[in-house]
Amino acid sequence: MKNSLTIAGKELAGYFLQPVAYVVMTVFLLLGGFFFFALLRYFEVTLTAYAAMQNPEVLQKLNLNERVIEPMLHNLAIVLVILVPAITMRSFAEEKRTGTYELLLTAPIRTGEIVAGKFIAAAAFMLIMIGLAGMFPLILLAFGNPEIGVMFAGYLGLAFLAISFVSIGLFTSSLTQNQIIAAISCFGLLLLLFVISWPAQAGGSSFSDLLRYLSLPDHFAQMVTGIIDTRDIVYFLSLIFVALFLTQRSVESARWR
Amino acid sequence: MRRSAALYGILGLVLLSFGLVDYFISAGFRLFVWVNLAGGLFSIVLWITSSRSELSSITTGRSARYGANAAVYSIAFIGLLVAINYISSLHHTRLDLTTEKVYSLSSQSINVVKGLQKPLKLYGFFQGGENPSARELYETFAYYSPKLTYELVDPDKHPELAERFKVSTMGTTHLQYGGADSGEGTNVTDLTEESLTNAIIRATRSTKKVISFLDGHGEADPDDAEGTDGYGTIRKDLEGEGYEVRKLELARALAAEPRLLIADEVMAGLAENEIDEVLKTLFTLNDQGVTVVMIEHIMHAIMRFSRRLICMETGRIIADGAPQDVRRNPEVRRVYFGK
Repeated sequence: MKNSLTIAGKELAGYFLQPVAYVVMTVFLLLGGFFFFALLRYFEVTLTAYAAMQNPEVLQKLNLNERVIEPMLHNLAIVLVILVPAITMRSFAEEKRTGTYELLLTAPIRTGEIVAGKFIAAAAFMLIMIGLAGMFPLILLAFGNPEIGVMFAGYLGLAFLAISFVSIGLFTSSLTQNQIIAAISCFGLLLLLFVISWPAQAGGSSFSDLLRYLSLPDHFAQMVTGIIDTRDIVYFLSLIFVALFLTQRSVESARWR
Repeated sequence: MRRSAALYGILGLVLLSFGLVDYFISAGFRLFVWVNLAGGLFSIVLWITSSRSELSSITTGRSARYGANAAVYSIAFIGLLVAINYISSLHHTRLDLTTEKVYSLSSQSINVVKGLQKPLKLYGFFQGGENPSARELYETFAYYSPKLTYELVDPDKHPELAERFKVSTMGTTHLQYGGADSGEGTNVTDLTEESLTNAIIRATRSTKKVISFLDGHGEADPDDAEGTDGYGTIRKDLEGEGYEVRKLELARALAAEPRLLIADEVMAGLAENEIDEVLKTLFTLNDQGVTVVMIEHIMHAIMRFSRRLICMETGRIIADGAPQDVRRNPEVRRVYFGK
């Protein structure tokens, strides 16, 4: 564990020594701010319109969480599909390209510790980024009356989503020494997990149920509405463990290939 | 390994995946499936034949041993996670963090769902076989009992199910209690917790409620679904909601023990003493707990019998209330006696 934390510290510091991390964080927060502003403005316009129509029934149904936080989190999830590969692509591919990969593998540490270290660093970076995006609900709390529990569940879902993305990004990075290939294959896999349930709408078979279960947005959407289900937590943890396990196998294979 | 050989392998895998996915989705071998599977297998064979020497070196030696070891280890690990996910999907707990607990059922609904003795399946009939709100509501109900399952159905793709369950409106939920062939079911078109809970109560009660339509005096026919005067459509809707509809002569209605009796102009053309006899029978049935809906033009009979009176003019309700109040209603007086 100590070795993992040492690697994680070095990796995390490495992120902030390069411009990519700052660019990724800035783009994420700028887009988040834009979504938040646009949705809040639209909410305000809708509220004013119904107030002018003197329609108390509809006014009562207008919900800050449903109208602002939920769509914003869904949009941020899409943004993460594009940004996470940019963060994870260098994890192993860069080491392979610069030749430090052999040094890392011959060091007196286990492969699992190397993978864990890199994972902790990338996950911590994501959590910092999502933590900074936590200012949006804080603004709502200061000026409005949103549901804290629903916002907490939504941000927890976003954190699980980001960490799952990170583990998949590490796996694709471990397969190649080309960062572009690592990023594009990660993007492809994440996109596939987003659209995997599309064919399920064509039928009601058990196979469709399986596709729906594998679909990332279905699990995420449930958390965003304010439901924390053990089934969704198990799904996200499984996805993380499978990707990390395959990463470990991929790195390990360099020792005997 | 030549680049073209690797391309054959990738192409083969992609085509095979397309074929298999389409086979599972469309649940059968159609031309698209055959073309993809045949093309995929052909590409895989090409890949194997064009990279035979590389494959033989891969399958022997130290790499092969470690590789096989890693593959077995990976399959075992993924198998374990699949099992954990399967178990967790069957036995899961959820926390509803909304302030008003909008994704939780009321205690009455929970008692109804937890009290299910036999399997209950909800069939939601929606355009394209999908409706997020319905899925959410069904999922909430299914959470409280493993006996309750659901399926969203596209009626255009499964007209046989719509026909079998007497579903005539898009957005209908059919509740099938006790298995697919039990014949015990009810329909509901409202997508609310309350209506679904009531429908479950209806579907699960041991005895079917009977609604009798009186017959023998020229009343509207519940078997007539074509004509403008027939009650065929009403009959279909009532049966869809789990009621048993019977056509009975008034004298036999006593023996049938219905919960609701629809007496549609049973007194038309009768002499005064016969009207008294009919009213006496209806009072007897009502005393036994039968709700009587009387559709009638004979005012003194209506005034004697009714507790609640609804007055209609050309299909529009103009008054609804106690008989004495309705009689005093100026609109009713205008309609009956003119200005």
